[in-house]
This record gives sequence, structure tokens and C-alpha cells, in this order.
Amino acid sequence: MKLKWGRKISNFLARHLDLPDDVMMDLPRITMIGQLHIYIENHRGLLSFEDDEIRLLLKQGQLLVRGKGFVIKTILPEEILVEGKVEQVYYLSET
Amino acid sequence: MKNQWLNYFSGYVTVRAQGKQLELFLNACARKKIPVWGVKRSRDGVISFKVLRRDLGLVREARWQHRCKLSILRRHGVPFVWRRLWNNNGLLFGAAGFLVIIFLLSNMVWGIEIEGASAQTENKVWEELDKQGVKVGKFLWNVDDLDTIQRNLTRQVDEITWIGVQLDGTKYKLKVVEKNAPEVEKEAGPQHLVAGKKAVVTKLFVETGKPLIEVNDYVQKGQPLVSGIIGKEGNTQTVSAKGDIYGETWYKTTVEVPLEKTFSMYTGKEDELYTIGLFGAQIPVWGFGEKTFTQQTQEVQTKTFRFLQWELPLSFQKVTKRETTEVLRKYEKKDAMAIAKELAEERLARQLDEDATVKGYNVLQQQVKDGKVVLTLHFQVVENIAVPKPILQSEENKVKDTENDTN
Repeated sequence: MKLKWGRKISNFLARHLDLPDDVMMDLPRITMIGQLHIYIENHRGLLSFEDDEIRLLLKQGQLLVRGKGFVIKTILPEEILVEGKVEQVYYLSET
Repeated sequence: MKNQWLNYFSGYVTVRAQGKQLELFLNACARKKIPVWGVKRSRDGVISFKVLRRDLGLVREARWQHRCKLSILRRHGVPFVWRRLWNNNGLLFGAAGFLVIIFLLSNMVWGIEIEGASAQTENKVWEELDKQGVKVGKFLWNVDDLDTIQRNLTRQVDEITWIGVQLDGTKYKLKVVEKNAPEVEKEAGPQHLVAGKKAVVTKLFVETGKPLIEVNDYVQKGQPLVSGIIGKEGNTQTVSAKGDIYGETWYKTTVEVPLEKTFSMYTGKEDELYTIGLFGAQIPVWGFGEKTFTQQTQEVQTKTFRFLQWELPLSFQKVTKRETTEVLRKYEKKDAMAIAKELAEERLARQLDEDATVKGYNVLQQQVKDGKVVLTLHFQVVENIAVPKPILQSEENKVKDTENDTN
């Protein structure tokens, strides 16, 4: 119940105070520049890193990025910038 | 990262990591805020990444928890390049040292040559040069410039009238003209001696020739004094008349001395400005001439550098500004007269030969006009008035003609 209330409040605030959703609800913010870059904020850690696949932990679920020739340009606790050829981005939910 | 160039200056390394929990290791690095970039997976279980040199220790710490093997693949950046140069390239330093040595040697005094002086005078010049610090082995920038050397030598060594100082490469060439250099006496042809100016003859000293005048004779300018034609009539001979004829001559000198005179004097305040000249542009390096005096004199000393025989487009300049003030000097009329007299004597002495003596003087005129003392003096001088005058061929013939006539 408590959690639901909290989420309702933040949902409400986000909608009525024009605050960005990612700030209010700890959602990832993903910026892509064509297929060249993918910049993910608000992740919770790197799960796996391969040449053609990157798996990131999110607050809820995981993010799977597929492509070719991935290189991590920057990695910070909550941000990651990956270069390469991005082909697919998937959300994997826990359930 | 944000600025690849800054990383290049501080140095970074490419590291290869091998292990099973590489992702966890990367997460650990991120958590510790270690900037890691360029992460690539090269094979299964192997990644390579770049990290700053100074963070390498932190990365090593992080790996303990994740059981991966680290090895450094490549080192990049200035510190490593520098170390490599330092270790392997003695040649570079050798080359630099060589250039420096050549440069230093090119700016050294390698020789001093003195020309045209007798042994005694030469010794004195050497001594004086030594005192001034002009020595073989000295650096050229420690030695005064040519004009100063020249001036000092002329002032300090009495025996020389003039000295020419030249710098030929790294060698000083001094040309000396001595005061008492034995004059090369020219074998004079047949000549008369005539009066150089009007005078009253006081003393005759005839070496060769026939004197035509006597003591106390008044002679005009150009009047023959000693004839070069000797012998009795009918048996004449032309010789080179020689001798000294002393006569009393007169000089009129007018000197003006202003009663008030302004001249500039140094106040002792000065400012120095150093600049480096590079390809003709002057770059100030020390002192920026911030002091500006209302009245000043400026002295510029320039030192140039050379490399082998070339002059480098690099020079060092020292500008000294000295403050001056105008000082008004006033003379009493009496003092001004005395100074005027001295000036007149000085001016006369400059006109006369060394063997001339001043016998006395009369004041012709003495007045103050337009704030100036005007003094006209009349000097009596005893000097050699004889001037050689060659006997012309026609004259000789004429003498012979008259001889024939009489015969």
C-alpha cells in the first residue's frame, strides 16, 4: 500500500508540475545518436558486456542493447556511453 | 574522456583484463569513480580498456575482489614518452649538448691581434685590454662593445692617437696609430722655403740653402725665405732647402661666452629595461619602462649572439634611461671673461703646431652683448713659418738662361 501511494504521488507530481519522469521515478533516460551512440542514464550496473550485446540492470528490470562492435566510452556509477552500431534495444521486465 | 589532450599530458595506459567477472569489475571501477574508457571485448573472457596512469593503483585494488588478471598493453602520453627519451636517447642529449657547446664557443673571444704598434705600446695596450676584461676565452656578451673598448683604449693609453677595434668573427683586430710614430721623411726634391704667413722673423736655423732674410725682417705670406739655388753666379746648383725659420705671428681670436647657460645633469634616478630581440621584434623580459621621466637620456646596449659564422636573429638589449634636469649656470662678468680667455687659448692651441709657443696676448675688445661676453684677443705666437715650395723646372731654366746672358 505504502509503495503504491508513493508511486501515485510521484506520478501525480510528474504530471502536474511538469517535472521530467526520469527524475521523479528513477527511470532510465536513453539518448541515441543514430546508431552510433547510446547513452544511458540511471542504470544500476553493468550485467554483461560483449562485443554485440550489453545488458544493464535498471531499477526495474533490465535493458538489453544489441548491435555490433560495442565499446564503452565512459562508465560512471549511473551513466554509460556506448559506441558501436546499435541495432536493437529491449526492455526485459522481471515478471 | 572529456579532454583527450589532458589525458595525453598526464599519461594513460591500455590495460588488458582477464577473468570471469569482468562486468562486476567494471561496475566496481565506476562505483569508485575511476574514469575508465575505451572498453572493448577482444575475446571471450578478455577485455581491454584505458585508464589514467594515476588511477592504475586504484584499478589494481579493485581487481582483487573480482579475481581477474591485469596486464598493461601499452603506455600512452607525455610521461611515458619522456621516460623513453630519457632512458634510450642519450643521442638526443648528446646532440643538444653539442649545439650548446658550439654556441658557447661561437660566442667566445678566440684571439686578439694588435697591429701597427711598437713593442712597448703593444704591451700597454695588452695591459689595458686585460684590465677591461678583453681576454682570450671570455664570452663576447661579457665584453664591452667595440666603441667602448675603442674609447677606453684611446683614453687610457697615452701613446696612441687612434685605435681601430674590429671584431672579425671571434677575433679582435686592433689597429693602432701611435702618436710619436717616426715620420717617414720623404726625400724632398729641389725646393725653396717660403713664408707660410706674414711674420717677423725671430730665429733662423738653416740646414741647407741660402737664407734670403735676417732676424727682425718682416715677411709677407709667400715671400721666399731660403733659396734652394746656391752657389755663386755662373756656378749655381739647386738643392732641397731645409731649415726652421721661426717668426712671430699674430692670431686674432674671438670667443663668445653666454652669461647664462642651461645644461642637463643626471639626477641619479634611472630605470633599466631588458628586452630580447627575436627576428627584429623586441620582447620585454624585465622592467617594462614604467618609469617615464620628463627629461631623460637613453642608452641602448645590444648584445648579439652568433652560431658559427652566422649571427642569430636573437639579441639581448639593455636600455638604460637616466633622468636629467636642466641646470641654469650663471657667470659673473669677471668669471665669464676668464673662461673666455681659457677657451680662446684652447682654441688657439688646437690650431698651432706642437713646437709653437705663445708669447703673449692683448685684449682687443671686451664687451657684453645680448647676454654674452664677447672677447677678442690678439695672440703673439712664435712658430715655424717655413713652408717648402718645390723649384719648378722652368725656374731652373730661367736661372740658367740668365747665367748664359751674363756670360
